[in-house]
Order: sequence, then structure tokens, then C-alpha cells
Amino acid sequence: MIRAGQLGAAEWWIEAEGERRVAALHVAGEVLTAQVRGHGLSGSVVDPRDHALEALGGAADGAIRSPMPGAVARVLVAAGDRVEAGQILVVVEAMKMENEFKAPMAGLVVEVAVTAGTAVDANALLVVVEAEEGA
Amino acid sequence: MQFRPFRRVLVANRGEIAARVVRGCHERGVEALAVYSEADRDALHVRLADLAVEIGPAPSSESYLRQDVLLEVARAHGCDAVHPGYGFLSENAGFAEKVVAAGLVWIGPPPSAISAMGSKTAARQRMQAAGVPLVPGTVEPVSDPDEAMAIARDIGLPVMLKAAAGGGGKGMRRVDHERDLAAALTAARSEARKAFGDDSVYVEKLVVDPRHVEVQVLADRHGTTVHLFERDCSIQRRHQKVIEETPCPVLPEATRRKLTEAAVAATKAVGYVGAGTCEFLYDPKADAFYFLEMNTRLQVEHPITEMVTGVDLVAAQLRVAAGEALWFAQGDLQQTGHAIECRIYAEDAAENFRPAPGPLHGYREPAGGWVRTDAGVVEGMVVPVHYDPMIAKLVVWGRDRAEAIDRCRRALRDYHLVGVPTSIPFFLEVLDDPDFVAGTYHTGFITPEWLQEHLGAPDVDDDLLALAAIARYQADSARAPAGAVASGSDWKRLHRWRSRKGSGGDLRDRARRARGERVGASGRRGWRVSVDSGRGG
Repeated sequence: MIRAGQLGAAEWWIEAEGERRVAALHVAGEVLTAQVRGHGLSGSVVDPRDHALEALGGAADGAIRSPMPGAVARVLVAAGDRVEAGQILVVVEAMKMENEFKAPMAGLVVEVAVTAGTAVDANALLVVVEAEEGA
Repeated sequence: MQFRPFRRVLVANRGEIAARVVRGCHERGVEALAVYSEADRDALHVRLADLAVEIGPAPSSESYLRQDVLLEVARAHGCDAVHPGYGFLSENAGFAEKVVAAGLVWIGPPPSAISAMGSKTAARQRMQAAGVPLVPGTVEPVSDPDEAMAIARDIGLPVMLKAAAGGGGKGMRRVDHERDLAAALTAARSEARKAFGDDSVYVEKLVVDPRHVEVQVLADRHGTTVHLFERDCSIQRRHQKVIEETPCPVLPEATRRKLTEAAVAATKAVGYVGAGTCEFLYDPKADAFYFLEMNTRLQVEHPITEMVTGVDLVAAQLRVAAGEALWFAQGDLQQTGHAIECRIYAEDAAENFRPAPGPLHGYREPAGGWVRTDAGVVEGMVVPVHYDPMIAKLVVWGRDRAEAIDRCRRALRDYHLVGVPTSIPFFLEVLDDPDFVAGTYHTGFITPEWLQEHLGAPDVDDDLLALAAIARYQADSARAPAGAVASGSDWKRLHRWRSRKGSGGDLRDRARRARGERVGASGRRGWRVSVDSGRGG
């Protein structure tokens, strides 16, 4: 026999064979956030009925996205530029810090999706670099 | 009844420091008026204050930095003093002058002392004259790349570029190679201009593997200046302190005496009044120290000094600002035991400490003996994207360093914090690191390699996955209010869940596992619970 219940906004208990354990998690729709041994984790919970709705993830290699909301401070490349691995492409200012986004590999800039001074959301596309074989 | 220094203090800040100052006011019988932006309506400092006034939209330039608005609020709501906290306007001499001109008391040093220390270039000149040791470097700010190159060649690479008006790691760049100097100069100046409105940068020799050791000072208007010993702030990420401790574990007593004497000399040299901090680089190999700068305000890490000296620094600020003489002498002060502070940020250490503001679905602080938390948040509120993403400071005391480390580890594990990734796992790794335990770390302790080695995602156990499915199921079915939610026939509805990473199984398997039975593979079509390593968003 397993029993489970909610203790607080983000705390649940689960009991099996008379042993109760408490876990720190929060579920809102499909979005799961949890804490395990101090780690703040995120994930998803998909109801069997909703499998069809599962999002497809995975950006193409070389698509540089901003992991956080911020403002584009500088754009250092233009479409058509050849870049080296590690070369700084775009600088995004967030939380008062400048974050440099670098080319993951040598290649050709095929798209620049932002301009300096504009705001970007988390996961916003910044630049797309395409690998150039034998360049 | 104790002496009540003021009637009502305007606390011109937000977050944990605003809450700290409100509490400090209340202990002296002083009312506290909080100000807040649109993003901070739910914040703790607003709830703790006697009254609170909204001062503008979320961006700090339209709220917490609006000098005119703050002065008008102080006037309209009967305040007789302003406490600036740290950051924002705390080291803005112009604002301090306006506060004084408006007939209010500025709970901080005289504007002249802020100015003297505020420009690092001017401060270096003053300190040189006062005989305080300095890191070799430029005395004048530099803007021309060629000039910067000449200086760098003269003093030798590596060098640091630092904003003359800066602090907190902004406008700061390390340069190891001549070819990187020009780009670093542009970046440092750009950051400095945005952060401080002043793009002057100076060039300074980089002391390799230094420790950041600073000295807390306190001065009254009656000619007394004391130090409250040192703090070691060498565990840094992105040039910002994240763990501080006192005493410094490797400072010889004779050097401690010289260091604290230098800090007092530096403080006196600018006619300082109030609480301040003289920052030094300490080279343990050479047993030498160099003055870096003076922070003319309360520091984030002030509580560890309070823990080992027993002096309430906010109370001291209030009393000194009201004209009282310090009620103790240097000889009355001593360091008792050991204190450690961890700055808990909403950030993902595994992704180079990416800021990760967001909702705090669950929040409960550790407690227990010799544990103090200074926080600016409450459960249910959102850590705003507009400000520094620090959630709280955990401060612990122990009879000795080993006890403080053990207590700190325990308190970190006690933290219930759900909704955002935090620096807690990072701190737990640091506290277990042999170099940290030995006390032999330096400011370059945290490297990408160290992070790679230490910050893996934890194993997620079955209970969590099962509970996630139950939570979703319960929310969706909008029944089974409290108590047991999944029993009897519910298990048939819930019966299959699995994780994308391969762990998981049938919920009935969870029951069998609890009984010690072996279970088979999970089904194909069931609940799918996936948990990533805190990299959502």
C-alpha cells in the first residue's frame, strides 16, 4: 500500500510500508520543478492522455540562443561572416552582467536574428552558425 | 528606554539588505519606511516595514535610483534619515549631499569620504600618501588602447582592467595576452559606462593566486576609528564573492595586525565616519597585502563580522549617524569563533552561474542554533529578473572553523527551495573540497574544470517521479483534496509512469520495491516524468 499527499505549496509526502518520505516538488500543468539534495531541478510531467501534445525539442547545431532574458548589448558579426570557434558573436546584458555568446565551431554566419539594443526573451534565437567543412 | 536615534528612517533599497535595515531600525525603536518598485510589491522588506511607498516601475533606473522621488517620499512621509543599504545609491556622493541638503541625516559616511574613495584613481593617490601598500598599476584612468598597452608592458602581464567607479565585478576584465587588451578595454569601458555612468578604467598588475581579504572599520564623529578584524572573501565566481568567512584561515597574527592597522590608517586618511570596508589583496606566498579599494557602505557580508565580534553593525551605523560616540574601544573587540556566509543565488552553477530568476514555489529557511538567514523573499514570490538574483544569505557560527563548516553544510541541506536552481549544490561541493577544508584556496578556486568535475545532476529517486505524476493527476482531476490522494482504484489510473532517462516504472512497482521485491521493466504507454538538471527555461 502506498499513500501520498501534499504538505505545502511545494512539498509532498509518500508513504510505503509505514515509512514516510518527503519530497520537495511543484507541478503546474506539465511543468515540474523540484529540489533534490539541494539541486533545483526542472522537468515535465506528461499525462498519458497528452502524449500527442509533447513538444519536440532540439535546436539545430550552431543555433545560438540566449538562455536568459536580457538586452542585446552588441552584435559583432553579420550574416555571411566567417567565424572561428570561440569567436564572440553577440553580447547580451542580463542581470547587469555582459554575457558573451561564442561560435561553437568555425563556420559561416547564416543568420543574425537580433540587433543591438533590443530585448530578448529566454531561449530567443541570436545567431545561426553553419559549420564549414574544410574551410 | 534606549536612546532612539531617529523617528523614521527611509530605507532606500530592496531585498535582504532592506529587510536587515528595517529590523535594525526596529531594534532601536525607530520606524522604517520601505520603498519598492512594481516588481517588489510582494517582497519581504515591504511586509516588515512600518509603511511602504511604491516608487516606480521595475527597472532600478526608474525606481530605486530615482533620487528625486526618494527625497520627495522622505519629505512627504516625515522621515528624518535615509539608509542606503548597499549597491544602488549607497556610494553616490551626489545623492548623499542632496539628502543632507534636504535636512535629513545620511546614514553613511560624509559625501567627501565617499568621493575620496569612490574614484579608485583618487583613492590610490590618497592611500599612497597615507603609506598604505598598493598594487602596482596606473594612477590615472586610461581610455586609449595604446596607452593601456604601454602600461601593461611596463608592469607586466597579466593585468586587470577595472572601472574607476566600479565594484561588484562590473567593468572588470583580466588580460593575459597583449592581443586581447584592446577588446577587453572596450568591454570593460562599456560595462562601466552602463553600470556607473563613468567609463574610466585603470590598469593594474594581477597578483597571481591572491586571496581577497578585507577589513571592517567603524568610525564615529568624535575621532574614534576602530577595525572589526578581517573577512576572507576569496571564493568568487565571475569576480563576485559567494562565500565569505572570518577569521581568514591563513593570515598570520602579525600580518593581521599590520593589515588592520593599514585599514584604520586608510579610513582616517579620508575623514571617514560610519561603517566601511577596506579591501585588500593578500598574497599568502609572499605574506604581503595590497590595498584595493574602500567600500563606503555596509557590505553584503557584514553578518559574519557581527557573528564573531558581537557588534551589530546596523545599530552602530544608526547611532554613529545620530552623533553618538562609539560605545567600545579597539581593545574591547575580539574575534570569537568562526563564521561563514553563503550567498544563495537563483542561478545555475552548472551553466556558468547563469542567473535563473523565477517563482519560489516553495521556500523555507534553515534554523537551529548559530544559524542566521538574511533573506528578502517569502514563499510564493517571484525572484525578479530586474535585479541581482540573490535570494538570501546563510550565515553560521561555530566555535572553530571545522564546526562552522559542518553547521553550514547542515543548514544548506535544510533549505527547502523549489522553483529555481540555486547555488546550494555548488556550496555543498565547495564545503567538501579538500582545499577549502584546508583553508588554502585563493580567488581562482572556481574554474570551469572544477565545476565540470563537481557539478553533476543528482540521481532522481522513484518517490519524486511518482509524486510528480500524483501531483499532476490530482491537479487535473480536481478531486481528492488533502490527505491520501492515490490509493485503491486511483492506482489503476496512475498505474504507469516512467522517466525519459530510463528510470521509473509502474507505480505498483514502487509499492513492491518498498517491500523489497524485485520489479520488472516499465510499460510503454504511461505517465512520462522527465527531470533535467535544473536547466529549464
